[in-house]
Amino acid sequence: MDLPSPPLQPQQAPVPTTAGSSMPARRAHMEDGICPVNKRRRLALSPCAEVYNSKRIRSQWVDFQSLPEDILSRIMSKLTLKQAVQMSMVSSVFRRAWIFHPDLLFGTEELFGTSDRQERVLSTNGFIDTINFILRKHSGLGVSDFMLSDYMYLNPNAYPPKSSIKYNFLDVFQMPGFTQPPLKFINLRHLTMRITFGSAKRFGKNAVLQLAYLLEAAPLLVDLHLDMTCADICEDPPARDVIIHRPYYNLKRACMTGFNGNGGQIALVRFILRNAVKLEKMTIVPKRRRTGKMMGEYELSLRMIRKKIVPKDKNGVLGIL
Amino acid sequence: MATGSGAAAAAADAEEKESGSRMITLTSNEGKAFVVTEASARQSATIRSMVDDGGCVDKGFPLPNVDSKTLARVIQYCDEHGNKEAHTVDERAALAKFDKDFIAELDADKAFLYDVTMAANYLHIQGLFALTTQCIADTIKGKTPEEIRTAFGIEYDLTAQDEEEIKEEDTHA
Repeated sequence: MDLPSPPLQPQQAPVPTTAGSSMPARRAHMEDGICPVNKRRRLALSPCAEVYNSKRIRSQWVDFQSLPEDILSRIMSKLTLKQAVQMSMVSSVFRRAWIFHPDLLFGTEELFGTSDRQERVLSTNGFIDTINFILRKHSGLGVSDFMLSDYMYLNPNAYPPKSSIKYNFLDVFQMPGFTQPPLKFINLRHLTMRITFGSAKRFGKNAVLQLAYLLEAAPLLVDLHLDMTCADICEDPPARDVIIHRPYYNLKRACMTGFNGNGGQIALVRFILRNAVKLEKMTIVPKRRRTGKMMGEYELSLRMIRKKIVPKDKNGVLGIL
Repeated sequence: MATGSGAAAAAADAEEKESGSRMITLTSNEGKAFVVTEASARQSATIRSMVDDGGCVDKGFPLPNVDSKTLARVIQYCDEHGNKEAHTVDERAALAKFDKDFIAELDADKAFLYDVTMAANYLHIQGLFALTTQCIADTIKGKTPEEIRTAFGIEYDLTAQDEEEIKEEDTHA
């Protein structure tokens, strides 16, 4: 039967309200974390729109803020995270518009808009607080890229006391002890993370292995790159039963740079080899390759890989650079 | 040119041969009819799927969400991208130049830019939607909140509670 063309539903007339809904109501709605992105919001027409309307039959979209939320969030996704967060200061409409931003790139440049070394040093504490803040507020939905690039910790002498870093770093992923992180990044596929661990005494010997819970926090992760700087090379391995093993089906490529053969790193690599059942490539880059004095450390790393890791590489995915 | 998939594919293939000559009528919400080539209309995923589903091509497609001025501009984009080839470097460069001029003109009239963005979203014209949203994002880039308010004519409407929160957030970001 030849019906008239399929209906392209007419848009509903805009509901004239002052600001969509009262602020507390909207906030409560936003903060339940399931605010649908495509929920359309329409605001009252401004007087200028009426003038406009007199010339044209339909032109209710004259106001940037009255664009539907799915379009706004598309626009937000084209901004840097910093700029998107800044939008929250523009008006009530944008207070939470950034929380669906797809890229969480925590580099100093992304967050501070500067790569100047001096400024970085000054703002180290702020940097950690900022990451914590953003992770707390972010919806966790729709994140496709996550990068924690943190050169600031590389020179231990120049920066604030390690204890605060340890505390805050673990805070980021909410993993005191071995509880699971409450924050889930269900769309996260690529994760690059540069981390510095100080001495085992301060961080606890489980600190490195705790990174295994990244797999739990981001179950669809495909690429994982950990660029590690571990000061303590003789760290004991964590206790055997400290972590729960379960298979992860999405991780395909893992890379650990700055490997120096400490117990935590070995345990983490072994954890990945054992549990990432679809792993295609596991690359290990030992620290300070063949440079003068550190020869010994490099050789030690290689020895540890041969002894502790190669026997666990049942699928032949391991590559040493 | 993308064709329908699955069961519709064979029929679509046959029709595709004459699609160069087949015309489709799009009607704005003011009742004004625009006759376009099928290739042009297929830039819209919304229309494409209706055509492929054996929709009523002859009767045309009423677009109750799009006014004449907006539709004319959208069709201008679709004609350029649907009717012209983009195989050689030169052809692609010409298309890129068209996009650049097209969006520059729209950028000068923000209200119209939003209308076209809305229409591109509604008709699922991916290239056009990417073009317009990128243009809006570019306007935001590098501006302070105050400058953004000015650029978009946004009124400051944050409550005292918001300001309190922002102050607290400011210590972080």
